[in-house]
Amino acid sequence: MDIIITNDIVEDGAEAVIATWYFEDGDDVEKDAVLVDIMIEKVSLELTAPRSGKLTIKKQAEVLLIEGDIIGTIA
Amino acid sequence: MTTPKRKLTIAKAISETISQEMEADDNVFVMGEDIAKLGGVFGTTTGLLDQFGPDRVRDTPISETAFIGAAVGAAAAGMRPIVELMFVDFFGVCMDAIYNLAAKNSYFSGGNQPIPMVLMTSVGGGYGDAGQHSQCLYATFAHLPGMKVVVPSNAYDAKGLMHTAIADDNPVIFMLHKNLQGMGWLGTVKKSIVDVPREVYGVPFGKAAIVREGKNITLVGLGVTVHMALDAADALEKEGIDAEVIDLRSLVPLDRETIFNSVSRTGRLLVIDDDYISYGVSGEIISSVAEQDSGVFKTSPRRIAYPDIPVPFSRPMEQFALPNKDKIFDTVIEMMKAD
Amino acid sequence: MLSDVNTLKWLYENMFKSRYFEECMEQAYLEGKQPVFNMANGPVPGEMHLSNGQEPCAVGVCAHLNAEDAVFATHRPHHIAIAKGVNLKAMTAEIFGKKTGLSGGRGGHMHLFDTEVNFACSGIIAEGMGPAAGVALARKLRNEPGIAVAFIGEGAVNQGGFHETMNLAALWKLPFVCIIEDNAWGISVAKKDATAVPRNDVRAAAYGIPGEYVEGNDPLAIYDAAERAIARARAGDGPSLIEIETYRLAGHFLGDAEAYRPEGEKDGLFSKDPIPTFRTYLLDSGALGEAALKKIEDAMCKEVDEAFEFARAEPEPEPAEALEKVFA
Repeated sequence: MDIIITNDIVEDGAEAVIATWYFEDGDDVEKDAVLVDIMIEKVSLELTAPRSGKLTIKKQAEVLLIEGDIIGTIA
Repeated sequence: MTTPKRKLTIAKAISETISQEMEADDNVFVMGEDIAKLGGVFGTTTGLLDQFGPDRVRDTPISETAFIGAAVGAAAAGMRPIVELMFVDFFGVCMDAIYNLAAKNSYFSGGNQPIPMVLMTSVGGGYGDAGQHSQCLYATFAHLPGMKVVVPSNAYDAKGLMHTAIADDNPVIFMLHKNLQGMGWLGTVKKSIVDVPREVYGVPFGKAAIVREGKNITLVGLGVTVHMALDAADALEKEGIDAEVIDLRSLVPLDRETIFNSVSRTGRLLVIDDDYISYGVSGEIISSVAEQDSGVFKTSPRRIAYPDIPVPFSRPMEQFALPNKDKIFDTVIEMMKAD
Repeated sequence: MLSDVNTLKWLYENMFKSRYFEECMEQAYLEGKQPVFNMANGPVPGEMHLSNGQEPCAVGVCAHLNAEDAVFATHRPHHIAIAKGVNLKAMTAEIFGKKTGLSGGRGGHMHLFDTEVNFACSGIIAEGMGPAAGVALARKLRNEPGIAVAFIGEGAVNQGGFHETMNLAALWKLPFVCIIEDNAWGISVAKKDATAVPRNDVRAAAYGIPGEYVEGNDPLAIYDAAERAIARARAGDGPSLIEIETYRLAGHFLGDAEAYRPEGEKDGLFSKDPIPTFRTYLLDSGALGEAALKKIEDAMCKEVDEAFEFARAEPEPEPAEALEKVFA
């Protein structure tokens, strides 16, 4: 299952970037666990795991994100 | 499949614990500047206002003497206040309420009126906030009798120590290093973000943690300097030097026994402290070992600490003054050569 | 009502210079802090508290001050420093942490000291009150001309040091003025949630001294009120208290998302920006024409640009200089 940067996260071309991943690539995560802190302009937003499973990180911290980016998957 | 981890920043661990303690006991309440709607400038009280409302999560005016004095009174009346002193550097305006009132109440009342309060405060620099917003002041608080003082280096310890602090019937000074908080506007030492159990648990006061075992030298740190010591230990390993790293966690009470036992085994002691060097934590650790048995030292004990200067603003000067892993590495190499 | 063209010109120059300085500072501050905002990075690390919107307070008061009059300001000092005549190049270099900054890079933006014009600022709330009273005391004891002015925010009146200093200044009839810049917010806490009374000028009664509240962030109204207070101080009649309604157009510190401000509040404030408002006044009253205003603006931009160029070009201090100047 993909963790996607949707339109309501990056509205109207706002700049979003991953500030902190709370897990490592390959970690097992629980559904609803806080996975990652995203900074949108100066506001911090947490994304939680949509399901339990093994996390694969696709986008590292400090990389600029755009709508539609898949930052990770859980399998 | 391994047990799923749940990594939290120190800020989140603190706000989670406070939430759990406030649920468990109506007497626990929080006050301080910008702790309600903003959730604290350092994120220590995020979400609490929504959960508990403005009576128990109170923004205060900029009146530290009044609200910290009030915390002492509320604690005397049986409540368990948690107050935030935004930056430890602000202690000057309200120190009387802390060291003369909170710290001495139990003693003056013959134990009849304990003060179960927690004063949490943010410490540390290294990011250009200059002399009145970057200090550590561990020794200032540890030196004065009647207050317990703790300094977590990671989120697991932070949550457990905060549980112990709130349960303790005595005033506890809970010192949070800004480089470890996990704030959106400041860099965070990654290793402070660790797996934190959801359930309530305590980390005891007065127990230092050996966070890395080693045979050749004992490195003692607190807060951010623990991480510097661990990084230095990794580099030293490549030189064939095996460093033991102790995380003090608790200044009052101080776990002199763990430190002494470690130095008895390694024979070498280096203390790393980002508070001012003279009359402080580093001197206390070294003399604690020396007075018990100076024969344990294979070489003179040493310390890396902040020079006796106000924290300078400009980056090259500030970085010059701070302890760092390279200073630790170089000092250990010297100590290993001397005997 | 002030009508002297030279003074009006001075007021506008310093307001404009101040605002342009803050705009340049914002840009410089944000360098190196993107995409992830980390306060430690870039040519200007640490916190940054900008004064956009509060310029009238600085110019309305400082228009009456000379070099020997002492001013103590807060963690939001730039507009006051500029109006007081602080050396702009050395000030900018200090904020950039350079060797030729006012304090050789030791102080930074919250700790600017210019002894030539008797300006100082500091980072603890209400901390400047006591020293201001002390300079006033020194002037009085030595029978020297010169008064002292302490600028504080509306949140600072709730600090004990405010009360103690006001009482002391009143008791000893010191040549002292306290200026409260009421920008309605103490970081995230609104004035009404921090202070038991809606206006702080009423506190003057507690000290038996005059108190005034100036509405509308209007440099001319501030100028008038300050004139009265400063004349009183110079005449040896003791201190006064002035609270000024002003606006904080930026966040408390740069990086502040300001989620705590009610929606629409800032838009409302931008429409009341005191600089375009005053500019329009100058044109409409015939005091200054468009060409004159443009000339001023160009000159101020040039001065600020040169200060920033200077600051960027100057060397950083040697690391070991950190150990110097602890003692004289």
